[in-house]
Amino acid sequence: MGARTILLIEDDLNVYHGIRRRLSANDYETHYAPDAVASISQARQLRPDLILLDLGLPAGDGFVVMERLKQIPELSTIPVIVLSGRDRTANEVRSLRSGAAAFLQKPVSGDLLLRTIERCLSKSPRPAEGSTYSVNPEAETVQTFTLGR
Amino acid sequence: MATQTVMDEQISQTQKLEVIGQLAAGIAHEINTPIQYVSDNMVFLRESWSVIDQIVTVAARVHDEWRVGSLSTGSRDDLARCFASADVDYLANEIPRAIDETFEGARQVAKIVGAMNEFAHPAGAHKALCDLNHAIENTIAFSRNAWKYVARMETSLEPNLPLVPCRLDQINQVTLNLIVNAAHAISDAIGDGSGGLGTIRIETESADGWVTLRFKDTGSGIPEAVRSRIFEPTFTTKPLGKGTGQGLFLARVIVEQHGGDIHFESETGKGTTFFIRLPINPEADIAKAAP
Repeated sequence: MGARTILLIEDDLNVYHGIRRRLSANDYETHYAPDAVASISQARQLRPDLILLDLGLPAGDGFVVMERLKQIPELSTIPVIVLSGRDRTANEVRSLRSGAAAFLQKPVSGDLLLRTIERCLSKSPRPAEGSTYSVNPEAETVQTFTLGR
Repeated sequence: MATQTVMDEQISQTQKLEVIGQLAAGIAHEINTPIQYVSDNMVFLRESWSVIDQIVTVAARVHDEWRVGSLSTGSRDDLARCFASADVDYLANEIPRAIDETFEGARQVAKIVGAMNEFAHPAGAHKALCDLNHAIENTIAFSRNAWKYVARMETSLEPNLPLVPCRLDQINQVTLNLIVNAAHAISDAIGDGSGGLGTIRIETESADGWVTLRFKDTGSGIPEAVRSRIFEPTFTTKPLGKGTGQGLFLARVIVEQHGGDIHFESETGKGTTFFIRLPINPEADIAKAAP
């Protein structure tokens, strides 16, 4: 199996490089989208295994991105971890209700980030070719649907 | 001190605390972000060092053995193994970048903390000669989180702008209010932001004994129906929690207390520019204006 692909949607390039280095050491391939508009086209192109999403973004915030992802069937099932410097109290519940699998507040330790990524990915195993999957984070269940051809 | 002035001071303090409170979460965000990549880079550098340390240790052993003419096959193979298992090109490329970015992160934190200190520092009851260009740059840094998601910030600050006698804490409050207002106006105009960012442009210049500050935004402009009321106390068009209507009122009071004036030009759908003029030598102006 090749490296798992993670799309980091984050407007600060330095944050991307820091996280890329940490994830690269753990066999993840990390890509980058700097704003809400680029994030959707990047997600369509890459079909990442997981998305790390900042809330504060130019051209629409992280909640707008989650809403758009949910509207696109082929992207709607990708687990999203919100990684934000914003206040946890005001944003965690809203993030989870918007479909995020987890909320992490910056600065987050590399260990916690990796554990959370692994937990989210283990709930959403890479689908067999020709199939897609759906994760329901609240019920912690994994539903697998086969795409008929 | 006259009763009205005392009241203005109290309103000013309350409004200052209110704006700082609104910005506090954003300031924490501005600090948390560089701390994130500084921490990631430090972990990366620590792990990279353990790889390099291993190579250096074996290389030193190889060097010692070679120098006395007894280089063993075992040591040579160990060194080859070390190089083979370490992605040296990757480390050589990434380590200097990680160090540079870590310095950049430390600089960012120092900048925002410094700006916050200068902004919050009480200036005392008397005017002092102030570098308004520096004060504006400071306020831009301090308020970055309030505008960076909706606008690009442009500045054109006259080099060697004359120092202006003022209460710096009060002038900082005025510039902060105008920057936050500009960000709100642009935010309203760009909606979900998919059409791109707006622009805030701040300019300074001096001429004929006055320093002029201009704050331009590409928001939707001030509706004609309310233009005559925007400097009134408690007047606001903002939703609850986004403003109490004291910002522009206080801006006018503060600027007038400094012997200056404030006005604006606004075009619906295009944006607004606020102009502030402050006298470089207010005593001379007062003397000149006296009958």
